[in-house]
Amino acid sequence: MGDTKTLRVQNLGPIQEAEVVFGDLTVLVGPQASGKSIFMQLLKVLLDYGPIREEFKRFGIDWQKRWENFLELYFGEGMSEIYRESAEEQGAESEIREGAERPAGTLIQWNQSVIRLSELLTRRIREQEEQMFYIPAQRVLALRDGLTRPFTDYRAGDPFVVREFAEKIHQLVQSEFATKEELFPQERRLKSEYREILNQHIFAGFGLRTEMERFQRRLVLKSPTGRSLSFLVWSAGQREFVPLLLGLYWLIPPTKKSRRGRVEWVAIEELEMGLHPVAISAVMVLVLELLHRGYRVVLSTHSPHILDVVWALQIMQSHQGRPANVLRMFSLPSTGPLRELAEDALKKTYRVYYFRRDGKVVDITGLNPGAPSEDEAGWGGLTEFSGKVGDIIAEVVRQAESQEALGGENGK
Amino acid sequence: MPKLFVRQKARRLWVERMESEFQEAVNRVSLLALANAYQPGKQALGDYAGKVDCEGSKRFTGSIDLDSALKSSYPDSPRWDYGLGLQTSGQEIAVWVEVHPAHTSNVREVLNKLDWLKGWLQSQANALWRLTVRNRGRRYFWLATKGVHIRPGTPQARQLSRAGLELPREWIVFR
Repeated sequence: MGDTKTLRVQNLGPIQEAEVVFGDLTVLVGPQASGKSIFMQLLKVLLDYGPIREEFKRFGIDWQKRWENFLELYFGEGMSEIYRESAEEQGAESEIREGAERPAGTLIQWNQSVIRLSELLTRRIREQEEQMFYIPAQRVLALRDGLTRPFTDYRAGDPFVVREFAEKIHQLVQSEFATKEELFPQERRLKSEYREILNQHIFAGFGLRTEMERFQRRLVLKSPTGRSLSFLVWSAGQREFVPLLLGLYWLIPPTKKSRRGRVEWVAIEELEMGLHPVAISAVMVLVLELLHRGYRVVLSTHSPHILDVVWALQIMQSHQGRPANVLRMFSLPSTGPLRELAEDALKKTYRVYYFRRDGKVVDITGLNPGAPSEDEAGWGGLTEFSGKVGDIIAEVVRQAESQEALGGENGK
Repeated sequence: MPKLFVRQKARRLWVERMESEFQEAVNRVSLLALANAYQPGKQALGDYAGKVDCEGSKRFTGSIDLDSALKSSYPDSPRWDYGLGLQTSGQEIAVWVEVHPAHTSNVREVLNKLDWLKGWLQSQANALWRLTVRNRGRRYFWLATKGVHIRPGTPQARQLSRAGLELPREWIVFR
């Protein structure tokens, strides 16, 4: 993906000012409620306002052409206040350029265009196929007792991205896999090397199957001895990972086509949820597979392990790293398809942004642990605590050294 | 006013001419090799002097290029690079700077150098050792060449902390 995409935002929910230039992989970090999710959902509206409106229409949801209602339905109940359109009357475009005074209203600039949601949401729909597939943090809600849940199973005030993801998973399990009992491992889904690492680090020899229950397919884990384990006895990591796996099935078709439909963007919130660091690395391999297939991926995370991968790939890029180095990082065998994947990973662009508590969004792409900026050196707060612990331990060791050398001479 | 200015200037020159505790401690080392090693300010750091600075009332009194000075005496030892005298508001202290690439694979080398430095100070340069340990703050510094590639929380970073050394930096500023 050569073309640069930039999203600038001012005064949207907790975000005061953000300018994000997207890479092939863009990672957003920051504390809770700093606006990462709002930012990603906004990106989806900008890309998919047509299909989203069509989806509301399909399920008989009337937002009465009022953007406030749309925002309540899309971002979720109580969220319409994050957006204030009043600034437009004051000349939004010029204020973005000059930036001298913070405008009272929300400003959104997608590439070169200033976007007004009131106008965007009433615009004639040209595109009916979605460009972004969104895997929300609440993905575990897509399953109830192992049963998938359709869009209409949720309240109107639940976020659209949660309902839509659940609907996709529902379609996948109840229609695409209607005639198959086995969901994982699946011969025609994911490369055998990926199946192997997922089996090793997440499923631990268990298989994911469906069983019929009152005309619906219910997901169960099958132990190697053939015993079925119901949803509530799965490990937390398995409960979190299964919807993510189904999302990846959606994105990686079993055919020769590399992508599904016209989807170009993938958003995954908190990829690491419930997973052991080794399992996170395994899932990051699947993210590289998405990049290899030409998807542009946006992740939000609280995991330094994900930034470790980005940091390592960038250093490999700047130091003539080889595909073998990438494969060794993930403990992957050197097979033809995996070498291609690794080679491709070394060509991709990576960007990292820190959503700070004060509403500013900072570019920390360099991830240089020695950077003068604490935002970058501390990886947006993700390694700050480890750094602090290290500094304190070094201090304690030095104090003991002084104490030993000087005895009671100067010590307290 | 001019008289006061002249007096102040004369006092400053007198203070600067005065032998610093660091210089005195360097002179006390009974090694011929170190006899001419002392240089005023941070001059001994040569090209790296620009990467080390101090702020406020702190100033560098003098410096030594330990690595070069002790090359013939300890040809095969993992010699530490530089020592600096630092005048703080309360006292003069010695701090030590190692210029080294900063990848995780270099941690062991730098820790070996730190062990050597501590051993040398204690056995051969007791006055410098006392100037070092009288400082209860940071005293050993790793100045990274070509970027820092060790991040907090890694086993290598923990090894450094355990030895009283913090993560490498691309600039060192004494505040």
